[in-house]
Amino acid sequence: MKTLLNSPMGIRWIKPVCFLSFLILGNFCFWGCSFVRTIEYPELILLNSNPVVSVRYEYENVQLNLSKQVLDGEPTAYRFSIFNNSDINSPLISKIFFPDDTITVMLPLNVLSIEDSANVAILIPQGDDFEIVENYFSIEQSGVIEFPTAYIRRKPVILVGNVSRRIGDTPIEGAKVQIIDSIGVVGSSETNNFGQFTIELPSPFKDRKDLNLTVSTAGKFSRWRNQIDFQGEKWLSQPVVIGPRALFVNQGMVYRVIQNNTPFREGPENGSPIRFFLSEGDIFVAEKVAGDQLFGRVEIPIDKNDYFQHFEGWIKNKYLNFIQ
Amino acid sequence: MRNKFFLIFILTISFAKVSIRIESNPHSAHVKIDGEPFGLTPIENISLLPGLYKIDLTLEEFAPIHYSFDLQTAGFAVLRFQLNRIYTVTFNTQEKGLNYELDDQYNWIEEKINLKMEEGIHNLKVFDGDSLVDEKEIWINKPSKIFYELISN
Repeated sequence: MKTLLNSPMGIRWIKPVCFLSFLILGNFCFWGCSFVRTIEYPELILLNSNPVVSVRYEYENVQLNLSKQVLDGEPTAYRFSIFNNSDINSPLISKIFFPDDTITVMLPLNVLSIEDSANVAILIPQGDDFEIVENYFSIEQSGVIEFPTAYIRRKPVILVGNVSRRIGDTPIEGAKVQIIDSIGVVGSSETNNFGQFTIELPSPFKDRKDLNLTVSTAGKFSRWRNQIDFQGEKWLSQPVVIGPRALFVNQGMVYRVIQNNTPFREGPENGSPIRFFLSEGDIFVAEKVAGDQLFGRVEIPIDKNDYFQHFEGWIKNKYLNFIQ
Repeated sequence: MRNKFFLIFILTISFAKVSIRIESNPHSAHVKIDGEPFGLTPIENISLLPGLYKIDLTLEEFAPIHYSFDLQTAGFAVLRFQLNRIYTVTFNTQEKGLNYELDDQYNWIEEKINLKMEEGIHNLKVFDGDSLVDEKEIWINKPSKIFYELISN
């Protein structure tokens, strides 16, 4: 084998054993201790775990304030919740406030919708059957939103009904419907073109026993009146039928009484005993005429309109208006 | 009219951007977002649209971080990264003919080798041929030397 030692260009005077020693010594001189240094792994040994990072967002905020005024009852607390209309089952925030707390919540601007009335703030008073207060709103920018004052009251008692004419069962529009107690009117309404009416009263009225319902029709028919009793419930339906029966008006010429407290007398002569007084709107069916007086009869509904009683007597012509 | 719509479009985009601050411990790490250099931490007022980004942090003698980040709509966002240190660990053994594997992916057969390891708990597996003969957890929290000895049952 041709080596450095035996080649023509080699160093013939050095013995092979010495050459090996020189080679090792030379390497130590040149490399130092690193000549025998440890092998290094070519890659970083990484754990490949998820990086430790914290992300903190700062949003522009919207503060929502709601003031309240208790009209009826004593709520023990209030639940105030904000919803996005697109997900009415999951509140963006829901918080309990005690009666003396200021009702206010703060939300990041971006969680609220900018569409019209796309968000709703709902206040639910706790502790009784209170009305729920809802406020629909939209957001354009950060800041403070003050909702209108929430009036807290227990759910009202509601009277509904319809007023119709006895002949033909047609609805009466524009009838004035009132609930009165021993002091005066506590609630009123007017019938719509279907003859329907609704009257709301504060919750305590559900237990009142001194309530009466009256229906008046500006003199077209006699005033209707009946006692009502909610019997502790919050809803009552009361149909009202007014006017004379067809059977009654077919008995003669029909007149309407045009003045309250019109005397209905036993005889035509002056000073004849008065049976009773008629009201404006009462129907009088005449059989005969004597001077300025008419003889005929009136029909009085008894026992919630199921039974009628007829009375005969005399009325002065000036108190009547001919109908048919 | 077209210019007006263009202006509104530009304004809408500019208002939707989120201002970001990137911090790291230790600081002075190089930051790249989607491959684009952004300088050294801490970095203030990077303005980005909400969306998905890849953030890379590198610092000498620390393990690099590659983080996929879904930026949400917000006024301001702060990202704070914790960088793990890299330590040199000398592995030494007198056992012959064994294969060594760290964390199921780094293999060697040498009896003495220097490893640059991220701080934390690593898993070492030792194989004789194809059969696993030993498995250990190694906790690295400083430069150290590991003298490995196979203890036979």
